[in-house]
Amino acid sequence: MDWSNLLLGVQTALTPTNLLVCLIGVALGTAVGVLPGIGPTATIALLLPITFNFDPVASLIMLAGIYYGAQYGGSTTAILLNLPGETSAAVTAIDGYQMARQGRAGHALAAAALGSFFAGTVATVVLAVFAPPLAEAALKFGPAEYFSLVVLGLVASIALASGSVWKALAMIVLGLLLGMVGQDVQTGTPRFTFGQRELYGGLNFVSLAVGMFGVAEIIKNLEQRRNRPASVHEVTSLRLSKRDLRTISGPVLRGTGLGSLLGILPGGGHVLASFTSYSVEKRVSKTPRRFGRGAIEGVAAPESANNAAAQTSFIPLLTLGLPAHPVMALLVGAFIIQGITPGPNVINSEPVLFWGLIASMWVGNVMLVMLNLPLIGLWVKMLSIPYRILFPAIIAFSAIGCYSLGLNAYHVYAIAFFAALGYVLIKLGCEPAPLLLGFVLGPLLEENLRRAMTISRGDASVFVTRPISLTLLLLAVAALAVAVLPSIRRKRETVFQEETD
Amino acid sequence: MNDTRSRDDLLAGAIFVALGGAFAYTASTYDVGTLRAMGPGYFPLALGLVLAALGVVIMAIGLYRRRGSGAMAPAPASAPASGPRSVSGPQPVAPDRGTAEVDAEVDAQVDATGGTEPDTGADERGSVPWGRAALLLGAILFFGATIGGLGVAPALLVTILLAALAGHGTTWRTAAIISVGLTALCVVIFVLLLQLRLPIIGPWLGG
Repeated sequence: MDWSNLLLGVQTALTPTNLLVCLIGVALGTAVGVLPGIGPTATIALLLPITFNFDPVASLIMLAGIYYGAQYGGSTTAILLNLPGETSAAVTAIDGYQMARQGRAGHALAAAALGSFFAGTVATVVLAVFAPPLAEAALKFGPAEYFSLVVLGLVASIALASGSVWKALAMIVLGLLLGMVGQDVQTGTPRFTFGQRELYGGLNFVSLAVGMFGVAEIIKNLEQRRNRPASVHEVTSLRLSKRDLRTISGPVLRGTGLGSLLGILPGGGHVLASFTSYSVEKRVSKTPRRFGRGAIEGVAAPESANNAAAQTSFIPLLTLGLPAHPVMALLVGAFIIQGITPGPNVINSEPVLFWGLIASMWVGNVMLVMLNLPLIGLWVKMLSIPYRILFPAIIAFSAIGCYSLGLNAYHVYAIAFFAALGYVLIKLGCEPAPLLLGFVLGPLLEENLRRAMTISRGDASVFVTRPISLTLLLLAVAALAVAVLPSIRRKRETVFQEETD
Repeated sequence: MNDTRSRDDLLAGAIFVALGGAFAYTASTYDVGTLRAMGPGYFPLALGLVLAALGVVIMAIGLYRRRGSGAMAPAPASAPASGPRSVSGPQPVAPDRGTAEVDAEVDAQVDATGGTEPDTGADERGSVPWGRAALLLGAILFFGATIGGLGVAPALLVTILLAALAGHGTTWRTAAIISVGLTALCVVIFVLLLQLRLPIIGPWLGG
C-alpha cells in the first residue's frame, strides 16, 4: 500500500474548509435521513448546482457526507418510528423498532452507530487498499452473473418474511411488476402507464417506501384509540452492556465483510447488503426466533453491512466511472460539473481528489458517531411529541418530499396508492419488505436477463453454464431450501406438542 | 383462528390472481418478442403469470385451512403416511405442510410472553378505520392536486388539517392549530432552509 498517497489524503481531508464541508454534509445527511419523505437523493440533486462554486474536493466531500450520513439518519427513524428513511434501513426497522417498543431504543441506536462506525473505518481501509484489484474482479461479471446475483438477493429476502413463504414470493413478484411501470429502458415503450405521461419515469421508490412503510403504519396505528406506549419515551441509557457488545461483535464483523463485498457490485449494493446480512445473522444465530422481536444482532449486522457497502460502492465510481446506484449517478454529475471525467484515470490524474475523498469518509464517520450518540436525546425527544401532531407531520413531510422529486403530482398520488395497497396487504398477512426489494431490483433483473439472452442468442442454459452464475443460483436455491426447512423441522415438534395436549 | 387466517389467504390470493392477471393481460398487448430478443412485454407477461399462479397457491392454502386438518398442502414434502383424518378435538397439525405458516401459528401460540410481536397484521384484529384512512389518503391526494396551483402554504394548511382530523379525539380547533404550526415549520425547513423551488403562494391565488 502506498502510504504517501494516504498521507496526502489525510492532509487534504483535515484542512479547515474540508472539515467544515464534511461536517455540513454529514449533519445535513443525518437530518435528511431522519426526515421521512426526503432522502439523500433529493438533497444531493438539489445541492448539485450549488457545488459548482466549490472546488472539486470540497464539493465531493460534502455530497458524499450527505450520502453516508443519511444512512445513519435513516436507521435512526427506522428504529424509533419504524419509518425507514432509506431503503437499506428497512431491515434495521424490523428488530430496531421492536427494541424501541421494548424501551431499548438507546441500545439499538448505539448498536447501529457503533456497528456503522466500525464498518465505516474498515471500509475506508478496504477502499484504500483494494480499489484497483477489486474493480478488476467486478469486471468479470457479465449480465448472466448479475441476473443470478439479483435472484439470490431476492430469494434471501424471503428469509425476512415472518409470514408465509408463498406470500413473500408473491410480494416479490408484485414488486418486480410494479418496478416495470414506466418507459422500458431498452425500447422506450411505455409500459403500464395507461397514457399518463407523468408515469413514464416509473413509479417513484420514495413514494412506495413512504406509502407502504410510513402511511400504512399510520393507518394501522389509527385502528384503535391508543397512545404510543410510554416505554418508547424512555431511552434509559446508551451504554451497551458487555454482553450486548459481545453479542454484536460477530454480526458487526460479518456485516462489515459482507457489506464491503456487496457494495462493490453495481445495483443497490447497500440495500442487498443489509437484507442479506440480516438473513445471514438469522441463519447463523442459535436463537433465530428472536429475530423480528428485538434482536440486537438484527440491528448491528445490517447497519454495519449497509455502511460498509455505502462506502465501498464508491469503488466502481472512482475506479471505473460506473455509478453503482442513483446517488452515485448524481455524483458522476458532480464530477462532470467540476470538469473531471470519471473513469480509471481519476486515481492517477486527481490523486488529491481520490485520496482526499477516501480519507474524508473516515473523518465523516467520526463526526457521525459524535453527532449521533449525544444527539440521540434530540431524536428521542421527537417521539415524545404526541402522535396526533407527529403523524400529520409525517404526512406533510412525505408529501412535500416526494413532490420535490421532479415536481410531479403523480409521485404524491403514488403515496396514497401505495399506502392503501400496503395497508390491505399487511392486514392480510403479507410483508411489504420483499415487495420493496423486488421493486428496486426489478429493472436490474430484467435488463440483465434480456442482455444475457441477447448475447447467448436465446440460450437459457447460459445461467448455469457460467461458473459464477451457477454458484449464485445454487446459493439461491440453498437459501430457499433453508428458509423452508426449519419449518418442516419445527412442525414435527409441534405435532408432538399438540398431541400431548 | 383458522377461519380468519383462511379468509386472509383467500383474499390475498385473490388479489394476487387479479393483479397478476391484469399485469399479464396488459403486458401481452405490448410486443412480447422471443426468448432471444425479448420485447417489452416478455418479462412482465411471465411475471404476471407467475404472480397469478402464486395467488392460486395461496388461495388453495386458504381453502385447505378452512377445511381443517388432514389436508395435503401443495408443498414439496415427502409423501404423507396418513390418509384422511377426522376433524375432532384439538387439531393436530398435518405433518406435510411445508410452509412457514406453521411457524407463524406456533409463534403466536408459544410466544405469549416476553418480546414484542412484529405487526404482521394477520394476528391483530383491529377494525379497519375507513373514515380515518379516507381522510389521510384524501389529504395526500389533495396535496398532489393543488400544490402546483395553490402553493406550499395554502395546500399544506388544508392537507395537514385533513390529516390531523384523522386522529383520535382531535377537535377542529386542535387540528387547526396543528395545521398552522406544521405549515409554518414546513415552509421554514423546505422552502427557506432546503431551498426547494416551490412557491409559497401559488398561481391560483395570485402568487
